[in-house]
Amino acid sequence: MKKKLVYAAAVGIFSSIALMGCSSSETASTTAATAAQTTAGGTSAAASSEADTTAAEDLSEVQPASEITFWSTKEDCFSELCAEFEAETGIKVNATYMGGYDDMVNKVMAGIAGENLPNVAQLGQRHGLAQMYDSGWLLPVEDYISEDILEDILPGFWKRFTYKDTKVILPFQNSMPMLYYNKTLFDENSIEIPTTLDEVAATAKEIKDKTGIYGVTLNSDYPWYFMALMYNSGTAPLVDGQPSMNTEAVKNICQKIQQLAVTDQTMPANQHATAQEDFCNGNIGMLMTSCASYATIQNLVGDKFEVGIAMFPEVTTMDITMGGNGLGMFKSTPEEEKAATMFIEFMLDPQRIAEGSLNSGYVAVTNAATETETYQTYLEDPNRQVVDEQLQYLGSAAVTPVDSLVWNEVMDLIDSLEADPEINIDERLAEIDTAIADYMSEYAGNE
Amino acid sequence: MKKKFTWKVLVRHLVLIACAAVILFPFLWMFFASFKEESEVFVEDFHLLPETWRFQNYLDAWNAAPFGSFYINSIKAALISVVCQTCFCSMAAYAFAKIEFAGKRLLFSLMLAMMILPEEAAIIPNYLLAQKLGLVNTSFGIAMTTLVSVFNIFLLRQTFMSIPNDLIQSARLDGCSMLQVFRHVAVPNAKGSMATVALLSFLTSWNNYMWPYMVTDQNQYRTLQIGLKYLIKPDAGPQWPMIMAASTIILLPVMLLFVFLQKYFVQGMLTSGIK
Amino acid sequence: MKKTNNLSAFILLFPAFFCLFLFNFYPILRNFYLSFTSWDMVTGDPRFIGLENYQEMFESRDFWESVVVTVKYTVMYVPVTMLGGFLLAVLLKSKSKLNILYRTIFFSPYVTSMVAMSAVFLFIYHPQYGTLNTILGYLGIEPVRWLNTKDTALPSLVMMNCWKSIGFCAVIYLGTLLNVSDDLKEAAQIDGANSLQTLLHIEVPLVSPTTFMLVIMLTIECFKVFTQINVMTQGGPDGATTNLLTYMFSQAFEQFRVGYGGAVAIVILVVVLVINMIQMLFERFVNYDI
Repeated sequence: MKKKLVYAAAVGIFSSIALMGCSSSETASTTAATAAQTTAGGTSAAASSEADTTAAEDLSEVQPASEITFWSTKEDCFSELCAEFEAETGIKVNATYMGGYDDMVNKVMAGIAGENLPNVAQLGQRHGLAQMYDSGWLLPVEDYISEDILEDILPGFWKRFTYKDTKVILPFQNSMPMLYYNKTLFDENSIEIPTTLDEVAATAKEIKDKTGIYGVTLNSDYPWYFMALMYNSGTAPLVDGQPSMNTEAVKNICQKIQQLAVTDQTMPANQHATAQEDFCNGNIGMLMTSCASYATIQNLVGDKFEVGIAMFPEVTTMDITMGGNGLGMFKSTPEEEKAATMFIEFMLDPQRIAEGSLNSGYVAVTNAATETETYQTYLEDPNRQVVDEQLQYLGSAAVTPVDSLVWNEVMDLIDSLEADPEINIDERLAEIDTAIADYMSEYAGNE
Repeated sequence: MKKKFTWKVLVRHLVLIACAAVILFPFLWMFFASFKEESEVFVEDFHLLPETWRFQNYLDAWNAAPFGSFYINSIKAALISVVCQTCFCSMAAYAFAKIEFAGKRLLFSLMLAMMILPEEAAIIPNYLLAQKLGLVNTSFGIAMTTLVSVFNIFLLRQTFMSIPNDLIQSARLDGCSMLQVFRHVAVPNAKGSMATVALLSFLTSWNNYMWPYMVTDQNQYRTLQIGLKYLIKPDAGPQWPMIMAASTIILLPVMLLFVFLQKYFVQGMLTSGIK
Repeated sequence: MKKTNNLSAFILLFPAFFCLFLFNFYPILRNFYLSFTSWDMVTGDPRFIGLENYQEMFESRDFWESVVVTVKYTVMYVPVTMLGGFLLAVLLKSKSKLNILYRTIFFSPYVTSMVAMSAVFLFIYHPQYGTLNTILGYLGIEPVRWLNTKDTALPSLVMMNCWKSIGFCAVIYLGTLLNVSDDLKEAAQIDGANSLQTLLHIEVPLVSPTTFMLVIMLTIECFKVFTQINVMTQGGPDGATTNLLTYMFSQAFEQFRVGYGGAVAIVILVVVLVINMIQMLFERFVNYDI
């Protein structure tokens, strides 16, 4: 084995050399003044210093850049709106589709490390936002967007997008979890719409008994609904900065999931990837998913049955979590930041927001949007009225650095609950709490 | 010798046909599903052939993402990869096969070790490197991680090792330097393996997904595999017939290439006589 | 003469090794360095924490589960693919035109892209509409929830990978089998051996170099399985298909723990090296003379 020994020695020598050279390279910038890199055409001007409250006024004198980059989570990247914007202002928008929310986070994080970021991006509320802000590259929108728009945003939305007392992201395409149900099936079998979690479990069983199909399931982003149930129980993953997954309220939800998947078998275990399709094909009676999928679901269902939407089940209270995405701005040159601000304000135009809602299921985020005629058309659909009604309960907790950790842990938790009847829930929840505590103590962004 | 028809022959063919059917089934299913209506796909009965042939699926797939540019980008990256691999791998392979030099064993073991590293583990360092070199969103950047393959070096080394030393000796006696021997003696005698390496590297580059995804962030630079992956997981619910159509579009050129060149491909694997 | 040798060798080796060092070796070193730090790539600089990552890893249940998954995958995949490949090669030994057709068919899955075939197999494995279950239904068997149960998810992935690579193994074995001298076989037959005995006692030992090489190659391949898992099961259900590489990836990119991910990457490297070294010990069973 002489070969291997020689090899090992070589590795040793190389690594020591490399260790000496590696330590200082490729570190991401902190909030210190750094020369910002640019991605689209503009000139790489000298540093814009720390984002301070005078920035918005500074930009009023600045001429906008002629091109900006926009990363979107929508497949067509709003190409029509981008073209309209260019026609109106002469600023070209280079829009690229980046995949879903998780893909977008990957790309943005890599972009921060490689200093290769767009000017504007659609950022899912799911996770990663705290890290992006603490890296210094995400600009707080409250310093750039006009007061009018900021104040017109329905207050419930800011609860999520406020971090360290700063509004960091502008709500854009947002949604709430709802309970979709097969209205035809319900009517035919005289089933009543459930309003609480316990009732959901009972209804699911009723569906199974009366029709033989599955009663309920959660869509492929199932941690979101779990967290929604948590908020409706008056709790959250972090309460006053302390991890609080290991509580009676959370345990109750876990037990309900076990009941659905294992005991009653009214939910197909570990089959969330195809949940939407399964519901649309009439194989599941109820589906917990986002109001934003309304248009898509209607399409997929077609004539098979009538789709109904009910409010998300209450547990002990109604504190509905927000979903969807917001528009974030990244640091670059003043010219590009100005152009980016103009673009964002353009997208928040009430008429456009209303039309966006009509074409999908996203809720209108500004008061002005809800007052448009388009929105009144939106409200003609009784299902959408239910969504509108639920808006008053919009709440949820602010973004935190542990969002990603919690999302992944909850996903694993639900997977285990459905797959493993022997699971020790208390132990598992305690482990999650420890993981959260460890992460928070290590987190560099808190320093 | 007359071919005898015995039970053995019959059984042998039955087994082979059964295996071939199992191997071909996913391809056939994909091909036929690409012509079906969405509702036909989600039915619990099994019917292979579509009731109505929807060619529209292919148009939808083509328009769902800029597959035209994806095709071009995939080809560009693949060509770079093929050229570099055939050159670099053959050069290195010849050195290992026919030249005695200092540190040969060490370098050989090092190479073996580097074959182990999965690409995904190297993604961030490679991305940062690409960023520094300005290779993000370029064909060369996409091809960057597939310029050399240790497996191909082994393959070629085998072939070179089997070239009789007399040939090399006589060329040396005629006054050729080592490099000239490589160019004029070794390479012409290894055409089969070089073709195999070319094909294998084309395949690796064509089928590469993770790295091209990381190193591109604009649609006009992306490759086919990225386009397909985006179709599978859109937030609006995947449309299976269209995805099958897209998969067929992506697989077709490779399959055709393979069928026409299978002689070289399979021959190359056969005669490299991996020992 | 030696000097010219070294120079020529250097020139010939330079391009390949330059690329390998840059894109292969340097990342290993970087991962090694990062494995002693805590860093999320975006906030602050890597913070030196010594061996804490390794400590955490060895105490982590998820880590050991991913090791088990990787081992299971290897143990299921390697023998089946090799044995299947060998048997197919045996059936394909003669040079008829039909055999060439079979060869092409069997090899074809190997040239497909993992992304495309993952999409197809995702559908074939679907619990309600998948073809596999429909066929089972015709045979009167209960549908199996292939990718959705802890027990069946990993074997389902292995089956798909076998489908993809069995032809490749068959062709490699075929190459060596065709090189087995006919004299040896005839001599055995004259001595009274039937086909099966010839197979077991002459051909199997003589293809042992190929077997040896394939075992090493396929084992390394098992540690690199990623795209298949990423597209089809994302490591679920409940970690049943999370192998070491998937675990590393989710820690590094989904949890933003690049230091910890680096540690896992180094462990993967070391493990494979060790397995290779153990496999090398079996080299003495390999029969190199034909």
